[in-house]
This record gives sequence, C-alpha cells and structure tokens, in this order.
Amino acid sequence: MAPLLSIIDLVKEYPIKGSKSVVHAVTGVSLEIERGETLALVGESGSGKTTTGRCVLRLTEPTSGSIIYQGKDISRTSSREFRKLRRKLQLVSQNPLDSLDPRQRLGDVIAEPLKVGWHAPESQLEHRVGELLRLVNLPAEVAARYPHEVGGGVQQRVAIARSFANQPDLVVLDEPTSALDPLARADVLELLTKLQGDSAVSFLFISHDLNTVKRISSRIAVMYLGRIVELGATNTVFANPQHPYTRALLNSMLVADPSASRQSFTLRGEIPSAVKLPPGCALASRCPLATVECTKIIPPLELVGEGHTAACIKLPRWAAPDGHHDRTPGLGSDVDIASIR
Amino acid sequence: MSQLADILVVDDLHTHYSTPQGTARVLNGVSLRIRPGEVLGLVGESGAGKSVLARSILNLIDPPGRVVKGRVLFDGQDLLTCREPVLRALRGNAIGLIVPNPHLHLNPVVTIGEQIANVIRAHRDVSRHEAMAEAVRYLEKVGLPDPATQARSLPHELSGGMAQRVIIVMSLVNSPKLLLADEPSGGLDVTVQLQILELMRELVTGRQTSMLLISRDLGIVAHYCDRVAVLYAGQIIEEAPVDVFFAEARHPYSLELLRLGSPKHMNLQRLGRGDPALNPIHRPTGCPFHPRCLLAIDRCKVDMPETDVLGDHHSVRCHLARRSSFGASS
Repeated sequence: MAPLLSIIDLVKEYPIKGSKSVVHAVTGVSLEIERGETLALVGESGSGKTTTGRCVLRLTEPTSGSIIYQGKDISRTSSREFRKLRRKLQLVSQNPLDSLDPRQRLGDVIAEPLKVGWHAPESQLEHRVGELLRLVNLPAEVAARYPHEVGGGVQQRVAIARSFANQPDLVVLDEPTSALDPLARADVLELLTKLQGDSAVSFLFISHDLNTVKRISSRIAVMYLGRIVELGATNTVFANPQHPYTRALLNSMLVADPSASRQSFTLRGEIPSAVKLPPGCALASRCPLATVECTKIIPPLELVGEGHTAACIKLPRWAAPDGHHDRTPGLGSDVDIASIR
Repeated sequence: MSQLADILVVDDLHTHYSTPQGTARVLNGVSLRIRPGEVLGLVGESGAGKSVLARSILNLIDPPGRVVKGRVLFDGQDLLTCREPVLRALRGNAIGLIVPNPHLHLNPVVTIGEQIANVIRAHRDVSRHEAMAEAVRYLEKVGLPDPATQARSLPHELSGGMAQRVIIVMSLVNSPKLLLADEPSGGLDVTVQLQILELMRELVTGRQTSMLLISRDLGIVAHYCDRVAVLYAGQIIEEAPVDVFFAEARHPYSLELLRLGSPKHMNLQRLGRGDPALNPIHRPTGCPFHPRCLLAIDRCKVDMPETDVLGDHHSVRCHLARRSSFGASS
C-alpha cells in the first residue's frame, strides 16, 4: 500500500536579513508516513524537526523538494486546492496557550473548524462539540470554560479535540507534551494511543524527549542539523542504535533507576551553526569516531539492518539475507539502493 | 549517619502571595534538612513551589509574596530574621544559586569575565586584575574553549550551554557551603545537559558542598542525588534516600512519577491522573492530592495527612501509606 504521505528531498533555507547567508534548517529529508502509524521525529533544538513538520502542513514553503499526499505535491498545488486537503492535515503545537485564543471559550475553540462548510443547524454543532470533548475524555462543562481556567493537560486535550474535528488523516504533533507535567503528559499520551486505535489516523510526533517517544511511536527518525541520521523501528533503534549521534542521545537519557549502569559514549561541544554548515558529516566535529574522511563526504542513509538505516561511513554495511526484498523506507532519492546490496 | 550538624534546616516554612483573586498558599509548611556534602533532590511539578522554596531559603521573596511562618537555619543562623547586610554577605558566597535560562540572568552589556570578577570582588578583597585572572582560570575549568578571549565576550555571543557554564562558575567561584541549583540543566539539549551535570558533580565533590538540586527529571535525581524530597502543593509529601525511594516509595503521587519515569516501575498500577491542575488559591480540603488520587478514601477529602515516619529517613504524608496492598504491580 502506498504511504499516506511522502516527503521527498525536502530542503528549507531561511534567508538572513541584510546578509547573503542563509540558515540551512532542513538540508535534504526524505520520509514516508504510513497510514495509522506514529512516526517520531527526534533531535535537539536546531535539528530541523519543527521546520520539517511545518513544511508538511505547508505552514512554510519548502526551498525545494516535494510533499506528496493523495497523489499531489501539496507544496506546489494552488492554495485553493490545498485548502480542501488541509482539513485532513492538522497541527497540535507545543504550548496550548499559544494556540488557543484566550478570549474564546473552549467549546468555541473546538467549534471553529467545524463551522467551515457547516450546513446543519447550530444545535447539532453543539452536539458535535460535546462528542469531540467526550472523545478526549473531557466533560461537556469544559466547553464553557476559558483556556486560563483549566490546566495545561486539559488545554492540550482541547487542542487535540479541535485537530480531530474533521477526521484528519495526519496530525503533526509538535512537542505536544513537553510543556506538561508527568501525570498530565501520561493522560495525553494515553489519549493519543486510544484515538489512533479508533481512527487509523497517522501521527508525526515531533519531540526531543526520548522517554516519551519510546512510549508512543512505532518508528523513529533521528535528525541532526537538518538531516535524518538514523531511521528505523522504535524498538530496534532503542535496543541497537547505530549512528554515533543516536548512541550519544540515548546515552544522555538518564534512566530513572539508581542502579542502572551508564555507558560513556558522549559528544564534545554543541550543535554547530546552521548558517555555516560544516563540510562532510555534520557531526564530525563532535563525534568520538570521526576521522578525516568524515569531513570529506556527506554520508548517505544506508541500510544497517532490516528496515533500519543510518548515515555514517564508520558503520559496517548490512547485507540482506538472500531473496530478501525489504523495502527501504526513507532512503533518500540520491541513494542507489542496488549499490548497497 | 553523619555526625556533623546539618548545614541547612528548613522548618515549617509557609510562603504566601496575595493576588487579586485571593491568597496563593504556595508553601504550606515545608520542612527539610541537608547535611554537609549531601545532595538533596527536590522534585515536583510546575506550581508545586520548588523555585519559591529556593528563593524563600535565600530570603529573596518580594511582595506581593511573603514568608508568613517558619525558620531557615543555615549553619545555625536563621536567614529569615537576619539583617540585609548579613544576607548579602552570604548570598553568592557561602550560598550559591544556579538558575535555569542563563541568558535571562546575565547582564547583557557586561562581559562574562567582568561579571564573574564582580562576584569574586563582592566578597573578597582582591584586585580587579586578580579577580579577572581567577575568572579566566574558572572558565577554563568548566571547558570554555579559549577562556582568555571568551572572558571578553558578551552573554549573547554564547550558546545556552556555554552561558550556563558561566552561571555555574558564578555560583561556585566563592566556594559556597550550600548550592541551590534550580533546574540547572533546564532548557538545554540532552547531550549538553549531561555535560553540565557532570561538570557540577566534578566541581562539588571533594569540597563538601551541599546541594539542593531542583529537577523534574527522576533520571537526574537517580544519578546525581543522595536523598530525594517530593514537593506537592507546597508540602513535602515523601522523603527518602534515593535507593529507598526508588525501591519503596509509598505516596501515590511518588509511585505515579515512578510508573511514568522509571523503566522498572512501568507495570505499576495507575494511581493518579493529570487534572485538576494545582491551584494554590483554591486548595482542596484534606490531602491536596486527593482530587487526582485514584486510591482516595473519604478520610482523604477531609483530613490533612500528617508526616508518617516509615523507616530510617523515610517519611510519607498519606493516610494509606501503611496499607499492605498499596501500589502493587498489576
């Protein structure tokens, strides 16, 4: 079955005012989002994960590359045509207070997307708002409250209810639980799992929090300085990370258990500037495995296991068993698959 | 147990804020102690009172806030009744403070070298030149590349991780006996967060510096603290040595934090929910956690539980803490 949505060779550069340089936010990302899956996009600040999510929703125009949805490149369709598709592609952002109008009652917040093309009587609108509140485990009374009167967990569940108003195919969740306390976060994650089970919606879950990602996602794409450096099933990547950046990221995740042992695979320094990209592998300046070769070529994503790719020239290549025709999700179009095998 | 006197004793501390909507009771009788060289982790959600506690300890609460009751003994001296010059001599000197979001707390128009030198000269009689040289030595110690040049840079020229190193230098440069670290790695990326925590550990070990380490992250508590205190709605609801906490926590809120944060506890029964969120103005009657507690009985809605000492250094505020079936794996 064709994927729900494909990102092909996405590049996004932001110009800097008064300068000829640009910020290289995304420098060539290819990804496929399957129906009903939760694909996590993880990385530190400045890795390009939010920009990727915004390009998928056409909230920002890509510099080059395509976003294919329902057979069309939605980054290039007319805005009139896109508006029809846009209802099926929704966003939930990090801070619910930024995305909820402080003067709008929560019921109106949810009703707003319903009103577009609503022909039935007003009373049914209210009924539908009640249904959506129930969907996110909130009592109908919440409709009369204002955003500041409820906690962050409730606000975020209202934002999710709104994103579900028109039966979306894909919801881009940009750090949806980062601003929440642990118990409220658990409520939201549980809710997302339930919603996906009921509706086969796909989630693009953008997060820097590996603990959360581990709990919710089926696949994970790790980004570093505008590129995907590793992609695979969440369990596989957590159990057997390949790329040095992924290894360092997982190693810096402190396990909440005093008896847990700690490995010591760490990176030096901090993420380089996205204005002056380093030559070759973007991690080379921080990577304990790096050699001179690493600064010469940009490593392509290559198979390191079944359905598991990583972009590092220091990794042994994976030879697929004979007669095995594994699909290679997310391989960049510049990669010649035959040469890997 | 250490025979040395506690470096910090907080006793029945109440801090309130008057707001147009009513009085916000942010701290409601917090008591804790820190021994010399000990790292006490303080965990709790937003609004629990963690930062207000740190500021109350330093007697830095400004109106409309007020410490209405309690004592804060530092080395036997009550900081809440001290005169301002005495406090000023202690802050930044015997007691250091590390805050999150370093860029908010650095002077944007003064070079970082001078800012560190100012902290030194505020408490020690050294020349400007000597203070600057010491600042550069410290910047080198915390891993700033090319420290002599970096000392002349302004805060905005530094990344978040580097700016936080500067804050750490400022808090430690006068060798404090007590360090209040309020989310010292908050807002930093995880790979940098680890560098900062390791650096802090390196700088305080061997000096017998005591630390109150405020964090939301049980992972940080597990690896960097000796004891842990859980703050909820302005009260310590559980306190224990780290090993005991991770093995035998009894409060439903603590167990819920463990279930959600610790791989060993993933299969615990769910004991709490996320709402209603904390509201220091309209506090529930009885146990403040009861509206979110899935185990709450009628008594929890009326009676505030007292601190119950369960064992060596392990105390809990919960009516159900001694129930045997409590919190078993499902």
